[in-house]
Formats: sequence, C-alpha cells, structure tokens
Amino acid sequence: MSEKIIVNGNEFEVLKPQGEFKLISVEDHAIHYQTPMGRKTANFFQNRKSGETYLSIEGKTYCVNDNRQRKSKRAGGKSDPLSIVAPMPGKVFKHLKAVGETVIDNETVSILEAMKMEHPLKAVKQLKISKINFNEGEQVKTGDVIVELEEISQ
Amino acid sequence: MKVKKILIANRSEIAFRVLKTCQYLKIKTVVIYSEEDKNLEYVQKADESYSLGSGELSDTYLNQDKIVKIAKDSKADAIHPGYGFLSENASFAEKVENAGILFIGPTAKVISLMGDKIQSKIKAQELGVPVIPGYHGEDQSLKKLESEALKIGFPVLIKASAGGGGKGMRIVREQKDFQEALESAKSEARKAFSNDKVLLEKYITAPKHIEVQVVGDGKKNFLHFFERECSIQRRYQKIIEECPSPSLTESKRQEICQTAVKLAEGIQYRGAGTVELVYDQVSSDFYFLEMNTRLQVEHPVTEMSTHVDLVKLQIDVANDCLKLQQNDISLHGHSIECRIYAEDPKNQFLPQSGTIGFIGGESYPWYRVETAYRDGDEVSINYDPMIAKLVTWGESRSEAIEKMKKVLDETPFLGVVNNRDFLLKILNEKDFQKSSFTTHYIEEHIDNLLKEESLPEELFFLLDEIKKIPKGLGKNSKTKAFTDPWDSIKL
Repeated sequence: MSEKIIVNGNEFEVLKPQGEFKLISVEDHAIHYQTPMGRKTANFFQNRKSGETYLSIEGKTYCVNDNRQRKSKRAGGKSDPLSIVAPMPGKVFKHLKAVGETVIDNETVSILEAMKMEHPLKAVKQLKISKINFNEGEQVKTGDVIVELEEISQ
Repeated sequence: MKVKKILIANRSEIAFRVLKTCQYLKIKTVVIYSEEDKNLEYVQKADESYSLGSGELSDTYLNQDKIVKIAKDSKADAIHPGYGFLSENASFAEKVENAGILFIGPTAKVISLMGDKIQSKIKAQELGVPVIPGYHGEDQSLKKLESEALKIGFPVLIKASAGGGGKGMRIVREQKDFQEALESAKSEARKAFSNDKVLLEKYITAPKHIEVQVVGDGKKNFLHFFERECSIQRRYQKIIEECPSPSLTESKRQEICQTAVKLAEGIQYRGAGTVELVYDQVSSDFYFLEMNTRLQVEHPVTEMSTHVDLVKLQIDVANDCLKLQQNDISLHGHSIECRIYAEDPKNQFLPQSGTIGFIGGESYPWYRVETAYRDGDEVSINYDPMIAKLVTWGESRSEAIEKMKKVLDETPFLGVVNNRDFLLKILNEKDFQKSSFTTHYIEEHIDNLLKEESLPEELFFLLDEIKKIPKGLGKNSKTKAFTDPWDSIKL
C-alpha cells in the first residue's frame, strides 16, 4: 500500500525520489543540492510541535504534514456539506436560519465576526438546519462546527 | 521648543519604523506594548518601554487615557500615532494637546473634517477638487437612500461614513439587492466605528487607485511628494504599491499632484497626509476619495523614489522647521512595495496565526524590509495580519519588479501561512508587468493566481534529507536574519 502525505492541505502519494538529486550541504534553514539543471537552494523549517515541515523551493511554499497516521482532527472540513465550520477563530455574530429551516445553494447560514469583519458562512447545496452548536455571541475556534445540516427528505 | 522624547503609540513594523528615525535624530523613544508583543525587537530597542497589559484593544493600544498618562509620566514631549489605532482619532489628538504634549499629525479639527467622508468631500468640492457623483446626505432612510441610488445609477457603492479598510462597504449591482446590502453595511459600520451612517457613490468600473503624498506645515509650506499607485488590492486592501504610478502621463501627474497641494493648502494641513483618488483609466478623469491624515503603510515607496525620510519631515513639522521646498523634491527611478500578510489566499485570504520559524532574506543597497518580527516570533490572531513590507528600488519599473521577485524568493516567512507565493505569482503575470490593471485585478485573475501546480520533483528528496538532520539544526533559532552582529560577541 502506498504512503500518503499532506502537502498544502491536499493528499499526495509518497514517491521514491529518483537518483538525480545530490545533497551538497545543510545550513541552519537552507539546504543546498545538485540537480540535473545545476545547483539549487531550498529553505526549510520544521515545526516539531505541529509535526509540519515547511519548504520554500523556487518561490513556492510547501507545508508538509508527514504525521502519517494523524488525520485532520477538524470535524467536517470544507468538503463536508453537512457542517458549517469556523474557518478561523472569531465570534458567532448572527444566525440567519433557525433549526428546521432550509437553505439553498450558496445561501448564507451564519455570519462569523473575526478581525472586525463579517464573514458569511454559506451552504454548498440545498439542505435543512438540524442543529445549532454555538449561539450568537459565542466564541468559536478554527474547525468548530457551528451549524449542522441534514439532507431534506422528500 | 524642540522635540526631545517621543512616545510611539503603535505596534509592530510602524513602531519600529518611527523608532529608527527617532534614534537617527537622537530623539529619545518611549514604546508601549501589549503583553503579546513584549518580545518584539523594537520593544527592547526603545529607550523606555511600558506595558499596556493584555486583553481587548480598548484596554491596550486604544486606551487613550492610559497612553496619555504614560506619555506624561515618562515626560515625552510628543506622541507619534503611526497609522491605524488612534492615528486618525480627533478626540485623542485633542487629549494629547490638552495634556501639553505635541501630537505628530494634523490638528483635531482637520482630523475630524477629513475623517468624515461626507464633510471631506464637501470641502474638497469647495476647493475645486473633483468628487465622484453620489449622495452624502443626512437622511438615512431606506426610501431616500434607494431613490438616490437610482438617481446615481447602478452599480452603486455603499460606504460607511466613518469607515476605512473596506469595513462597512458594499457594491450593489442591481436595485433588488439594495436593501439587504444596506442593512449589512450599516451593521458592520455600527460595530467597527460605532456609527452606521452611510454614503452612496457611483461605482467606477475600470478604476485605478492613485494617491498623492503631501506634507504641510499648517501655515505656508505645502508640498507634494508625487503619487503612488496602489491598484493591486484584495478585500479592498492594498497588497502591492508603487511610486510613481505607471499609468499617468507627465502632465496628468502634475495636474493630480497640484490638485492635492491645493487641497492641503485649502485646509491648512499640518503634517504628513495622503490624498486618495480614483483614476478612471478610460476617461483620464480623477476624483477625490478621501484624505488619510497620517503616515501611510506604503510610505516607503515614496521615500525610496524621492529620497526623503517622511518621519523626519513629520518631526520637522512638529518642531515648526519644515525647510524643504517643492523644488527640492524630484522623482528618481521606481520603487515597489509588497505587503506580506499572514493570510491564506486559497481560503478567502483569511488571517492566519502561528510561529514564524524562518523569515529569510539578504540585504542589498536597493532593498528595504520593514518588519518587527524575528525568527521564532509568534503571529497573533488579535492584530492586523500584516507581518512585513518588502520594498525594492530600480532605475525602471521592470528593474524594480525583477528585484522584488528576487527578494520574495529569498524571504519565505516559513512557519505561518502567508501570501508570499501569491505576490510572486502576481509579479510574474503579464498584465501586471505591462501595468494593465485596475483595482479589480485580483478578482479578475484569481483563478490563474490560485491555480494548483504539481509538486516539484525534488520535494521528496528534500524531505528525506531533512529527516536525516539531527535535532538542534533547523529548529527555531534567532541566529540568522535581522540580528545585530554585536549580539554574538556578548554571548
């Protein structure tokens, strides 16, 4: 079975590096190496607390989560249509819908207030509100599920 | 009286920026800081620093009485407010002056005049400065506002009268969306500014953001330092600025700068300020937007292209000895600023927090970096997510762009999600290089700017090599960038 790692939030298969790269030297945050195209330098930083390795290669940043068994602890995530998740820490400013009400695609369910701005949190398809976990005025952390939704039974 | 000690009523890079000029002028500095900021470099470098405690902004950086008391107790003779926070707060300016301390900025009267989006436009119009068609009236009823919007013609922009930074601002493209947008703009404005008064404006479809740097002595000397163009914006906030604008002819430049001086003179402006304009690329018409009565975030591009120190000029004005004349000021080459934000461009530019593990960067004679952070510092979610400004200068615009690409490549700010890669993508875009853009540039190019790319071949090789590095190397360290070379000797 192939191993997987998370790079910038997306899952990739771990590939065996080909033999065409050679290490030259390592400094504090720089790694010099030989490629078929000539010498290159990448910068890196390992955050041992979070298990993330950051790399900058030719002006592009790669945040690699190599903690392989560790699945994202966030409930839902933005791919889950049944959860309205806080994308950042803030305060629930307003719920535009009550439990039992329905929302349509791209309709705002709740408004999060963070950094003195209002961020509308929207539904991705037509659904019914099943549960509100945080009331207006309550503080939320990144990844908290603010509102739960359910499919509309026909 | 000559200013001998300045209290800097701000934080992060701008506090550091002001501190540097004070030190060069041999003026003593007093810095105030919240507990979260106590390890930032400038706090340690100031002559005196005082804690504001922790908690809400209203208890710390916005606590006027506490700040004035610290200024008095430390015998500061002037307060520099930086930008943001209390810099455009007329009652603060008044409190400071009533305490017998100089406020480095305009008079409270001018701050409140120019801080009011309605009154400032009326004043500009009186002085012969063109303004955008709109409704700036007192009647805030839905019926009146909606009928005025129809008179102006959609699309229409709703703006908070006391606003800034995009807060309380909505574009309405059709009449049917008007009511909802109005209510949401008003509620945002009420929270951000405790004032929900709005104004309406014609929305200009192909606008460029041009602004003129001015400095006045409040009496007879009113100077301009040419213009900046800041059209590259996301969420109504600038991320790339340049001086001069690549979009103006020489005669248009003169016309715009003269107009700004006319406004500064007309209000007997004291200190450094910026006259913000919207420039219609199609008609070459320009309109007054607002005046910022303070130093601007992007002031370094003006400094790099005109060879002045704007903070020193602010202090000259405070000392009542602004000697510079308009003939002394000229444009040299081109400079560009990129703002590094701890934010995620892939997730609606949401602010991010975390530990900056590695900033990076080399120094060059044509490069300037403004930041308060060092390797290992924490970026807090409680403050503005801008963590640094990189500024390059070149003989031409394309040279300044090439240099910026180099320094961005060398300065990744690893450890906290940020917009460095996004900025580099913009600099590599043809439309940016040809200066063919409006303030809608990012919206219009977002798909291309965020396009996912495949992983580079060497990524897995590098990860394997990094894994072999013994612990102790490559972890948080404050040894590399931005440290004083003398520090290592003291160890």
